[in-house]
Amino acid sequence: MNTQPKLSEQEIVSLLIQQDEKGFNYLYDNYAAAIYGIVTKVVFEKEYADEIIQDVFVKIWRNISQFDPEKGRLYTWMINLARNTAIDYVRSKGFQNQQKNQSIPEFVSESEQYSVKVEIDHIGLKNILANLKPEWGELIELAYFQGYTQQEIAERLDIPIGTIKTRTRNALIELKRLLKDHR
Amino acid sequence: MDIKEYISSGIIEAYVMGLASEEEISILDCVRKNNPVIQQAIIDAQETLEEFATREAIAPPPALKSAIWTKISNENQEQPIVENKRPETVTTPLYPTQSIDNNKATLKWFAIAASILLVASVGLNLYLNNNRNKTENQLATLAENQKNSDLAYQNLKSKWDMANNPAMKTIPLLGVEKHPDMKATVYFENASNLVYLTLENLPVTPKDQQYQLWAIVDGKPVSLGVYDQDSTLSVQKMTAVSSAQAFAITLEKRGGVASPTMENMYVMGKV
Repeated sequence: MNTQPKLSEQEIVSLLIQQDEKGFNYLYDNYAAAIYGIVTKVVFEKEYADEIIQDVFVKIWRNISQFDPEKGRLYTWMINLARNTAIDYVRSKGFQNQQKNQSIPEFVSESEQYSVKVEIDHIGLKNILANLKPEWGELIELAYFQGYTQQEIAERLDIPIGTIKTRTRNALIELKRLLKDHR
Repeated sequence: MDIKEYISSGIIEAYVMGLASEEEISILDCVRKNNPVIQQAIIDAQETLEEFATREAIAPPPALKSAIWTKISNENQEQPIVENKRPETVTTPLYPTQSIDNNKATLKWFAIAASILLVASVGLNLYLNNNRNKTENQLATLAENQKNSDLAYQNLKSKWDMANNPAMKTIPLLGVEKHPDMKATVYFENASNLVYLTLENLPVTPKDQQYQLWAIVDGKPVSLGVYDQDSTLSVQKMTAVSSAQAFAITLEKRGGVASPTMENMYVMGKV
C-alpha cells in the first residue's frame, strides 16, 4: 500500500454512498492489499482468500451506510469487516473440518509455512507477529485472527480469564513498539 | 471511575481486538462519548492495528479487481435499493462496529430504558427525601418558635401580673453612673416579703459570673441570691426580705459572694 491516498476517508465514503465506480477503484487500489493481507492471515489458503476478498468488497459497497465515523476510521471498519467475513468463512461448514484440527501451539510454524508459500506466490510477508513474544503473538492470533472469545482463549491456553485483557494490552503495546522500530 | 485504571485494565485493547463482551462494549461505547481520553486511547489502538494491516499487506491477484467490480455491478442491477436496508452482512458480531442484530438492539434499548428509570427513581427519591427533610426542619423551626413565643408570653404575663397586683410594689432599678442605660425591675410584696427580679437591660454575663441581687436593709447589703441567666424564666423569685430600703445588682463570680463588690454595681433603685 505505497500509494499515497489523495482522498479523505469522508470523500471515499461519499463516493461509495453515491455508488460511484471511482469510489470502488480508489478503495480497491488503496486498501485491497491490506484487506487481502488480513484475510490470508485468517484463512491461510490463497484460493479461499481470493473468494473472501470478493465478498468483503461487495459488503463494503453494500453496507457503507452503516459505517459510523464516531466509532473509528473507515480503514478500521474495513479491516474488521474483512476479519469477520474471513472468520465466518472459516467457521462455516466444510471449512471447519479442514482447519479446526490445527492445534494452537503449531500456529507459529503454520505461519512460517505460509510465509514460505506466499513468497513463492511473489507476495512479500514480513510476519511481524513472529517477532513478538510467543504468548503475545499467540493471543493476537487467537483473538484477532481466529475470533475466539476470552473464555475460549482461557480454556485453550489454560490461563485465567482475568489475565487475558492485560496480556492483550501488553501484546498490543509491544506490537505498536515493533511497528515503530521497523518503520 | 478511575480512567487510568480503566485504561490499564486492557479493556480498550480487548475492544479493538474484538475480544470484549457485549456488556463491556456497551459500557465502553457509552464512556468514549463523554471521555476524550478514552476515545483517543481507542483511536490509538485502532491505528496500531491499521498500521499492522498496512505493514502486512499482500497484493491480491490482479484479475480480482475487475471480477469484484463485475460482481458489484451485477448485484446493483439485481437488487437495487432493498439490499441497503437489510444487508446480508450480518454475521457473527465479533466486533462492535459490525451491525447489531435486532435482539441485541432490543436488549440495548431495554438497558437504556432501565438506566433511565433507575436515574429517574434515584432522582425522585432524592427529591422526596429532600422535601421530607425540609418539612421536618420547618416543623422543628415552628415548634421552636412556638416554644419561644409561649415562653415570652409566660414571662410577659408574669410581669404583667406582678405589675397589676396591687399588693406588689414595682421598683425600677436604674443604671448607676458608669452604666446609665441599664435597667432591671424588682417586684416586692410587702405582706409576704416575697421578692421577684427581672432583668430589662443588662449585658449577658460571662459563664463564670452572675448578677447578684442585694437588699439594703438598715444601710447594710443583704444578699437575695443570684439571677439564673440560664433559666428561661425572666421573672425569678429571689430570697424573701423584710423592710428593705433599696435594691441593687452587682456582677459577681458564679454562685454569688458574701458581700458585694461595689465597683461592679450596675443598677440600683430605692423602695
